[in-house]
Amino acid sequence: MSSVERDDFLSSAAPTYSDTYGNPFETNIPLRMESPAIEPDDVPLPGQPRTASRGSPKASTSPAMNTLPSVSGTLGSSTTTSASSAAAALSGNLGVGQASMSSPIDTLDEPVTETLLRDLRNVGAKLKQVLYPKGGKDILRDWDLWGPLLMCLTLSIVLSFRAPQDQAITVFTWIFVIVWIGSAIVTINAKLLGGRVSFFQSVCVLGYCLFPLVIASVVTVFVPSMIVRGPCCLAAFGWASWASIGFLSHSNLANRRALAVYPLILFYFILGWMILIS
Amino acid sequence: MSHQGAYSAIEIDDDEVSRRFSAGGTFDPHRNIQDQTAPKPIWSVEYYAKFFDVLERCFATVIPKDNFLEVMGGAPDLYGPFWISTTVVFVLFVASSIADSIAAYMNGSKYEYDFRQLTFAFGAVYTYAFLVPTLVWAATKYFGCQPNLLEMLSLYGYGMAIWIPVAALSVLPFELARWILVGIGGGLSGVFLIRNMYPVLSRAEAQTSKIILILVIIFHGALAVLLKFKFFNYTILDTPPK
Repeated sequence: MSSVERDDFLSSAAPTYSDTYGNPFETNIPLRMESPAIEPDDVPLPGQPRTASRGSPKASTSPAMNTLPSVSGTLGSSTTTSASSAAAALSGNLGVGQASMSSPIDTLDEPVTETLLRDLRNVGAKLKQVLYPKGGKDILRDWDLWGPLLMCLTLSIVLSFRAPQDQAITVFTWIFVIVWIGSAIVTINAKLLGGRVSFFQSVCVLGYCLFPLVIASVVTVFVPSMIVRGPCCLAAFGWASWASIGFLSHSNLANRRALAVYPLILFYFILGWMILIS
Repeated sequence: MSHQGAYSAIEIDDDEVSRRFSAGGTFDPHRNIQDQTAPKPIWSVEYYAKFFDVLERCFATVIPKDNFLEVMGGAPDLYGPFWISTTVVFVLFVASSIADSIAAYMNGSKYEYDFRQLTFAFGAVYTYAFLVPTLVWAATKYFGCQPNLLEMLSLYGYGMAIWIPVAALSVLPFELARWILVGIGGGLSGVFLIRNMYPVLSRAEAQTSKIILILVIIFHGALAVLLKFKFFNYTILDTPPK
């Protein structure tokens, strides 16, 4: 009896060894296919959960099964680790990124208007947060590009309406290109300077910050007088810059902040100027 | 250019230096995740961060009294060239639209802006700031002058800085003043370019270096004239149309 237990112990110990060091002749195919998928998640969770989850199935299976203790033991352990790490990754993603998107509401049966309105309300909530950046900034973690697209389209359509007849297309193109390429370049610039900003989050913030300029462009449609339009555009430019700089202050730029802020100001200035002269 | 050389010339705080060095010291798999300032692979955006280091180098180009390559101290960057030329594009557009509206006001006609000027400014300025230095670099490389592409881009990019005040001042509705301004701008940046490029060019044979130098001057003159006629040019009619 003691010899059997010894055998058992040895045969169950050997596969764990081969699993750790990846001997191709002793492990079976599914295990080897699974291992790279687990790899990245292993690093942040050093040691502890892995040994713990491996220990329990081994202990339970090794006395009972004499035929193939090695296979069942390692299979069980590896699937539990992969399942637990996958669950951890999933919950991590949910917790960090899409907190407000994964709402428990059943969206299958609702009318389309409700869906659209919910998106619009979402955009509105973000807009409020962007335009008065003193409050919390949590909503913007969950970025979207609908708001920026709305701003960009409104701005370019309003300006191209007011453009001289033969230039409407040029104006539309330029505004559209400046808004998207411009915000992308400003973001890449901040990244290049060593700031820790997420690309789409920053593009989203920059797009939402266009809102004062959109208001200014609508005002200029109705007021032709330069005396009103000048201060209006200036105020919109100042507001947009102030709001977006507030968001940039989190990005850990240290002494290079001015270098990241300058392109931002240039970006809003040129848009403000286009609104002014249109 | 080694990492060490690139960093030594740039002012960074001690904290960052210590972090950089500590990151490269012993191998620790967890540090790579925690410490974001660890050396980055070449395909990541962060790798290029060192080319974008700080500069108040613009003034050294507007008042070219020192050798600019010494001012850069062996650490040319791309932030300057890119944003200076972008600023030049926008300043040209803003200045020319102000100038046009002044002209329209003085002529008594209605002002209509011209967005095609922006397109043109983008094309002209980016071509000059990026394509021409690349061509010069390729030519000098071919003739064995051992040029540095980043230095060439920096030279041309920073050389554009003079056009910002020139464009701003060219709003003035005096034709003679604008010619003088363009002359000053073109002259100063031309002197700047040639002075800093000469040490590189002189490594080639006398004949080829002379030809390249002349080509550089011709390109530069062409840019100045182009800017003058496209952006700093507006006519005020003696008799406003009734």
